[in-house]
Amino acid sequence: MTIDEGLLIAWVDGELDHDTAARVAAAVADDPALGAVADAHRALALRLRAGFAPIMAEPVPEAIAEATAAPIAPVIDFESHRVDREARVETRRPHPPVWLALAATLVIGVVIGRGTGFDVSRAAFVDKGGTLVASGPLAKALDDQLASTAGDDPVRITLSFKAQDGHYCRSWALAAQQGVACRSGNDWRIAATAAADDEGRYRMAGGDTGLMARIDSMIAGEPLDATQERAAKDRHWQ
Amino acid sequence: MNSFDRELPPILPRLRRLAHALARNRADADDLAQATVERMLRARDQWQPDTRFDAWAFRIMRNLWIDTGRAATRLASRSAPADAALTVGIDPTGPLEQRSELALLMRALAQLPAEQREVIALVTIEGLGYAEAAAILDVPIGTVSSRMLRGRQALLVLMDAPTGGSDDHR
Repeated sequence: MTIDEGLLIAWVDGELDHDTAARVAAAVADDPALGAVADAHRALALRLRAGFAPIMAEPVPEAIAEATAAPIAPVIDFESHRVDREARVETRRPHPPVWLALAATLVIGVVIGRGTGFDVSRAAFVDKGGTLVASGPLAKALDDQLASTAGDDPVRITLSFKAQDGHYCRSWALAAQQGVACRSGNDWRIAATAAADDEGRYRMAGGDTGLMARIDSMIAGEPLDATQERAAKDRHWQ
Repeated sequence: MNSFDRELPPILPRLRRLAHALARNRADADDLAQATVERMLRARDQWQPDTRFDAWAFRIMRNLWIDTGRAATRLASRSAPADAALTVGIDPTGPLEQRSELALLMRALAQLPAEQREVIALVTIEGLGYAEAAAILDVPIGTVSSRMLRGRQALLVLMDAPTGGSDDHR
């Protein structure tokens, strides 16, 4: 089979049927030149998605909101398009980034860990001069816990990343809630939270997809790897 | 509240994102998004609740964008050299915004022919499948594939330039 660039792009886009995709994958594995072309197109696609992602988190301009007859929901609903993507998740390889899938698998551990009787979510935040900051076990976990070595603590740190504004941010998961907090001085400012559904489950295709979309819009580059995360912790996340 | 009114608010962020992928600058993008919402409201009876709301909305936006582009091209062809629209100096957004990643990507996309830009906007940025994009654009799926190839090749070349073009003129 001849692998041309169009076929590589279709492969990167998850548009090939299973057998064709397997043949392309085998050819790419055998030929570094093909792999380099595929990587370039994959990186381009990810860069475009990431570059336009912040628009999803922006407030809808008043002129547009006013043009709609219906009231605008105060929370941006990311679900409508995520559902389409979840339905195609097996074939659309590049779209949910690897780190998103990683976060989802980490969250599974939290659901399994339910029922230990230790509910930290009630004491997780305090209002500090009008800003919601992490407190108690959540603050301690954000300070000290490494996502890369998460054990079975009641608070699970799922991702650490640098936001576009240069602050470190970390996502966490509790039994019934997950969220993102960003370093602000010596505090962790709560940037976003999302609840688990009624049965205490998170949507597994991407953890809570709304929260993941939010992280997608905040993150600069890739999440920290284990080494970067440890170094950031040693600098007290400054 | 009927299903149209339920479907519309959650799709607004996506409409703005698609508009930014199509338009030349952020002001034009929000104008396009607003015009799309207004047309959707006028045509609300034409949407059938058992069909995809996002595909319907995207088709309306894309057709508006094509119409606006044709009008702008006619104007530009009378008043300026054909490539004048590519210069960044006419972008009304501020200098900080022009240096952002989003502005860089918008400038790169704006240099593609419309038929390549719309395919990349729908598939690569908006996350639709080739078949879904083909249905919105009323073209065969093979046409989507070939436009995708040419557009992505062109973008790789454009974005390989470290500053995305505009700053080369210093």
